[in-house]
Amino acid sequence: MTASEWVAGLLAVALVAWVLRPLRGMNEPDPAPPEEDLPDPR
Amino acid sequence: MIRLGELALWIALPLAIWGTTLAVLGARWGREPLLRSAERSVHAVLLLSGLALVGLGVAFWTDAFPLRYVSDHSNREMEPLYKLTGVWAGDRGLLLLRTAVLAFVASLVVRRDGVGRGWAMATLLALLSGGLLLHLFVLSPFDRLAFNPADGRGPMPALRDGWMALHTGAVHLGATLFAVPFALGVGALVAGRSESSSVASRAGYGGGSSEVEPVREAGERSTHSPGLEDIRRWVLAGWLLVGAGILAGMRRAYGDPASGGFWGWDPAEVAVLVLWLVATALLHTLRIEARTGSLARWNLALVLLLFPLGLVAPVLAGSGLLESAHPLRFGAGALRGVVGFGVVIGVGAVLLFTARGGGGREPGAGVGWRSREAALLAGGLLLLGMGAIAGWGSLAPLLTGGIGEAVTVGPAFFELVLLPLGLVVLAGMGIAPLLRWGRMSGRALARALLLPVAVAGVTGLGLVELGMQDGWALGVVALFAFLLAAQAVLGWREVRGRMGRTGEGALHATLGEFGSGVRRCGGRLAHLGLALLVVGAALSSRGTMVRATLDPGDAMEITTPTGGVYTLNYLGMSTASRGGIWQVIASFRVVRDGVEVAFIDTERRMHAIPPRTTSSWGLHRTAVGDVRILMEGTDEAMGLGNDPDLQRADFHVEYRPFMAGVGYGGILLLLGGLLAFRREDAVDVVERGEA
Repeated sequence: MTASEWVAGLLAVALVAWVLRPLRGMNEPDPAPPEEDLPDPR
Repeated sequence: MIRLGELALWIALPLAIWGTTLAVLGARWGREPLLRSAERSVHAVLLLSGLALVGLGVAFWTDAFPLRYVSDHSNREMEPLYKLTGVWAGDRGLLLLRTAVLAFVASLVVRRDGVGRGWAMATLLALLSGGLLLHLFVLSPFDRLAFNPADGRGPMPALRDGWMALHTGAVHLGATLFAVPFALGVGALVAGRSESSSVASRAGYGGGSSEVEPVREAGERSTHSPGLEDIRRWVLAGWLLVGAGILAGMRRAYGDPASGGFWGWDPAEVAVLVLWLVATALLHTLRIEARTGSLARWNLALVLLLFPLGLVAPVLAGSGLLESAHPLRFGAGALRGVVGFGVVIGVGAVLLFTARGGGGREPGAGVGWRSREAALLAGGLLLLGMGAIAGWGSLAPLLTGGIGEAVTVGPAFFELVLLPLGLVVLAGMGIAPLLRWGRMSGRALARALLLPVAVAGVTGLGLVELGMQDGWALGVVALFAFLLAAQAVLGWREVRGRMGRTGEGALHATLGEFGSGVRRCGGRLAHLGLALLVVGAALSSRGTMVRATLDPGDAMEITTPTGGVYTLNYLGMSTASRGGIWQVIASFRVVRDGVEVAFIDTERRMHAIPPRTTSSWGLHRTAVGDVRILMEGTDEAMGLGNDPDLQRADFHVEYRPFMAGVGYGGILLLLGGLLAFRREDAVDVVERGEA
């Protein structure tokens, strides 16, 4: 593997971990969002 | 770095698809963590597409000719600057640039509170996923050749040009910015908050969720509605960039003898003009929505149209399906891929619009035809009509080719149909600002129009007296005078009103009016600039032209329409070789009415790779008119230029009256557009007594 491929691999792992991070708190209830941010119930 | 750029696209695609999915789920279920993860994937895609772009830039910089795209658009002799602009001198790199810019604007939009949530984010991520799919499977800029070529094939000579690089970059960046209003529009439709009529407040988008205004009654809506204001500013940003791109392209064409003039109704030019016209129409009807709350559905439709149009139209025009002399070409892969993608987006938007686009108050009730909103709407419709006619004219060969003999329409068609409409628009630009919102009595209108009409009449008569016989040119200049007078009347009315209210002096009141209405002044400046541009275009096409064969020491004369005489003395010819280009340069002294005014060179260039010959105008510009000269070369002249006995050549000289109007008008247009970015506070509107 070339250096670029190593860097790309590490970058991929780091980015995936970073993107997935907000999902860690999925089982806890959301903090109450402001009124405007609530999705439309319909 | 090149390999890293290539791999970055492969990492970006699954992240974009992941983000799209999570944004949709997050919007449906209202789960904050899902939306936050989707938001992060936008930033990740920005980083990765940026890396891919940098990788391609490095490939150009380091002459990585095993990459097919690099070898097709660069060679060892290219100047370093054009190696970098080579990144977007062809279809694959240009589309990669567009994806990176899309990721950038998406990243800006999702960072803001409220905006980053939901369907708009899903739309932007879906567009990014589509772009990445194209880069990876249809149009990879990182495709490799089976061997390592000794040198690249190089770009078309016309692409080795700064104005060209600016033109392409600006037009496509502008067209990409339309993705943001598109996403906001889709978000508005899917979220389907039909209790409000406005595109923006339906989506719940604004400068920040805390700033979103409570929904008011339509009639009370002011220009302050921040969501609508955001959409206006994104459309304006795209409009400015596309406009700047068109102007840069006109400047390039003016210097390129192969183009004839600065505008030639080439399908590639028309494609971008249509996009610009639609955006212009939208800016005007958005003004009506901001002011009265009506036309929401209409504006939504235009918002949804702009992005797919900006994606498909330039590709269709440059694909070879239509006969175009524009140097930027899009290959068959780009045609299939981008047009397919654009059609999917367009059809999706139409389906969504027909399914959920209901609601909204349409104009009519309580509005007279002598009103600002009626004039703005008429202007918008006229601009759209002009766009439709231009688009139809360009597509005619394609549309008629399917059913029989292909019909091609030339510049004569466009000028016959579009010039009269353009004059109506020009007149409307003078009349509309004088009209009041709501309704206006005929007497009041007549009073407001009295001075401008008189000024236009006097100007017209004066020009006839001076010997101007050309009806078009007369009409355009008279209309320009009308517009100037109308703006003066309007300005005076406002300044006088302010003096009465505040007791300030004339100077203070003028400055105060400007300070409190920067956006409004920007709009007026833009109109003035456009009118000046039209005057320049109309007058400059009424120039004179002379051809002659000269030996060094000979002179030729050209007479201007106003009777001035320019003498051009042919001094001699020299040759040079630079960056793989063999140049033959003929030098002239320009004398105006006996006074030496300039030295200018006209040049023929023989490019080694790819083998082509081009030439460039020698130009002497003045505010009144341009003198330009072109060497139409002879075989003897080429290559033997330093031999004093072999310097005879054919020359073509033109005088273009008031060409500067096009340039200065364009600059004013852009400057006005920039000023119009300013948010206008409702307080100022109230203070002026308009609200």
